[in-house]
Amino acid sequence: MEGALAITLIALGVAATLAIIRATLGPTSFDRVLAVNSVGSIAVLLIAVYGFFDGRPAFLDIAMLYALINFIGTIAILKFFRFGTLGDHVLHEDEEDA
Amino acid sequence: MRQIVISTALLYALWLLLSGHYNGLLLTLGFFSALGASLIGARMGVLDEEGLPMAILLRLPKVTLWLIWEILKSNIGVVRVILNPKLARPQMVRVKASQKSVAGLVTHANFITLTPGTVSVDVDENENTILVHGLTDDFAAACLEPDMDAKVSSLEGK
Amino acid sequence: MSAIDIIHLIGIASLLVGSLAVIFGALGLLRLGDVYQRMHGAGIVDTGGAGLILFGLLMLSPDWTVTVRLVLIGFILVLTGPTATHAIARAVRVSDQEPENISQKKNKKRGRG
Repeated sequence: MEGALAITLIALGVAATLAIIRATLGPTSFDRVLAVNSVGSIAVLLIAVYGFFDGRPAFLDIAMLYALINFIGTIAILKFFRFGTLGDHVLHEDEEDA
Repeated sequence: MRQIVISTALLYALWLLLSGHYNGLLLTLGFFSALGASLIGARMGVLDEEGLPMAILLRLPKVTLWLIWEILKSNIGVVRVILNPKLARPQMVRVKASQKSVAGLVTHANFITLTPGTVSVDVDENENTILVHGLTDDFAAACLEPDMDAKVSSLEGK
Repeated sequence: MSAIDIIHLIGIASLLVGSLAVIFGALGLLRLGDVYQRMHGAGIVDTGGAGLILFGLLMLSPDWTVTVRLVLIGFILVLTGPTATHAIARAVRVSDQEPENISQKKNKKRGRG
């Protein structure tokens, strides 16, 4: 069981590395956001599996929070790309679309 | 009012599941934090039929197994394309949706994105269509079939 | 071999297949041609990979508090994953950096209709 968890950890590490390479290569900023979002998903799994590996289930709470923050972070970055601000300028979205 | 009660009950159940400590003081504090969160949600105006679509949530288990099967099937298809990127024939298709509510339409778009190989790019709630990006001809054709549309519509009931 | 052993074996198999799925997904993120196609690679990480690994952990879970948290993580990932992917796809769509072969097709369709 430890062995399988260790292999999973290594696989997740390799996958995160591949995603980080994509985030570095780009070419567009959306590629980078996508890659960073994937790194976040992989990190959630990594934290959960490590909690099992180390016998500390409390890690699962951290994984849960990371999953939520990862989502909010992605949305915040995209919003910032589109509007250049995270504030109330978004209220004028309709004007900008038209 | 009904929405606040449902939301408080759901949040309190979640709190009970996650807490693991059960004594009088903590149970009371937990209840009031669930109630407070629901009241703030109601004040923000997010606790309507769209924010808490109970009709869809309650029927969700009906399609879960089918959805998992679809996801596994298309996972294998996408892995084949990844191993041989020349197979990829990216294209956009417009899928007609028969859902009546916005929550149903969003569920449909989410299901399309959830199955790898298809990503919903744009949702048009006036014409009830979803613009879908398919990785290959097969994936694009699969989401044009009325199968998933019917399943999601059955979630809405009525 | 007891029932617990069999459940653990299923969990371990699921973990290993899930690791493979995550690596393939990340490989897709790296290999596929443009932003839209790479989203399908990310989709594998979010659905197949995460689903199988969480299912594997579920089979190995020692007590019910752990099970609840694993189910909840799965639920959160299923809700937020597609939403984030859709947000990125829509952001690409409304930006001026849409991949060329797709935007050409868009124009062709417009000409026909």
